Amino acid sequence: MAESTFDRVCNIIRENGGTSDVELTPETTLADAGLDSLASVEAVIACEDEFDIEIDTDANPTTVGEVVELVESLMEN
Amino acid sequence: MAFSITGTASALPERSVTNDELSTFLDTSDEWIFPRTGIKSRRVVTSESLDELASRAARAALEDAGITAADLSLIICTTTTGDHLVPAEACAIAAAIGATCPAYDISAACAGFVFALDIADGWFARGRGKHVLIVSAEEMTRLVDWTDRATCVLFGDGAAAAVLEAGGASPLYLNLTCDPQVDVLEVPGIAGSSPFKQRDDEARANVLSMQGRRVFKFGVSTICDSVHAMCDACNITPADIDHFVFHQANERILAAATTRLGVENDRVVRLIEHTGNISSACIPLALDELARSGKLASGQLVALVGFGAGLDTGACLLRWA
Repeated sequence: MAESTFDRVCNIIRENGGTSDVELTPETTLADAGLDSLASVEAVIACEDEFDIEIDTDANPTTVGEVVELVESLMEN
Repeated sequence: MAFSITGTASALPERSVTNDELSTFLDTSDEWIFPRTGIKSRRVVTSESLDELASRAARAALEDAGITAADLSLIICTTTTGDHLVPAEACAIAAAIGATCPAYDISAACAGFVFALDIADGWFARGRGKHVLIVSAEEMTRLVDWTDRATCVLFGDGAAAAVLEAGGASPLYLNLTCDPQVDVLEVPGIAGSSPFKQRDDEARANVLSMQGRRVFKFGVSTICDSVHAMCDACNITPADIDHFVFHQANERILAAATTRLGVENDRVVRLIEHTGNISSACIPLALDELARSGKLASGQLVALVGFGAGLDTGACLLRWA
């Protein structure tokens, strides 16, 4: 079965400095996931590459769920 | 009419300031700065003037090119931090090296050097002369807020120069763009003391402010977009380019762009670890270091991408002479 967007976003967060100690849920903040502000931008950039989308520079998702919503809304367009 | 770069040189201040030294008066540390920026130390002006650094780089570049100041038809200085608002920093350089050709400054922030290449290309195309000197000289430490640990740790000072000669194979591609967003990275101008002025500009601190997240994302995107555009225009791929010289704003911008472009790390020039961000001087300094390293061979392709406040981007593909 194909990985869900949520799982793929979680993988990206872990690959970009996220801690493996925290179980990621849609409500987990990126800060609690272990991403500082720079790592958050790097995760956003990695999402652009993973999902072949372009995320607006002003977009500033703060939770895992917000990243997933942002990605899915852009994939629908 | 195209050009060749026939000489390069640079001049950095003597004083190197480490992250540990910054931590003596800022709430920061090497453990915080280095992983986030790739910077260990930066060169900082103490007793030197920027005029002196710029002139030293200019003289050495002329020597490297095997010409004298009398051979120059134009001097362009790229700076936002000159010792003078008036006259142009370029005029001080001309005075120091004994040149009498036209001399003026341009301001395109960190992208300045590539913008100057475009001016020189046009100068040659109009048949105005045979040699142009570009000097990129920045004293960023006079612009930063030394109480702002998020920005002052990023910058350094220095000058680098290149001599261009009419004729040759460069540029294979040269493109300048602006995505106008003034507030992303800004230093307010002089407030002045006019008795007629009614706007409250005095309230604005005369220091650099930056929206780091937006600059970071812009940097990665504009590097990659620029490289892809130059490759499309020249019918090549990034794998065909021998060296990438990007503006040195943050190691993590360079790393993200390198990954996204899918090019090997050793083809992307890095010097930020011991210089910090020297704005427009980064690209000619990196070119000079590359030229002196022996890694740069005649006929190789060198991609330059400068980006910064504006938001300006300048991209150029050179075939090294």
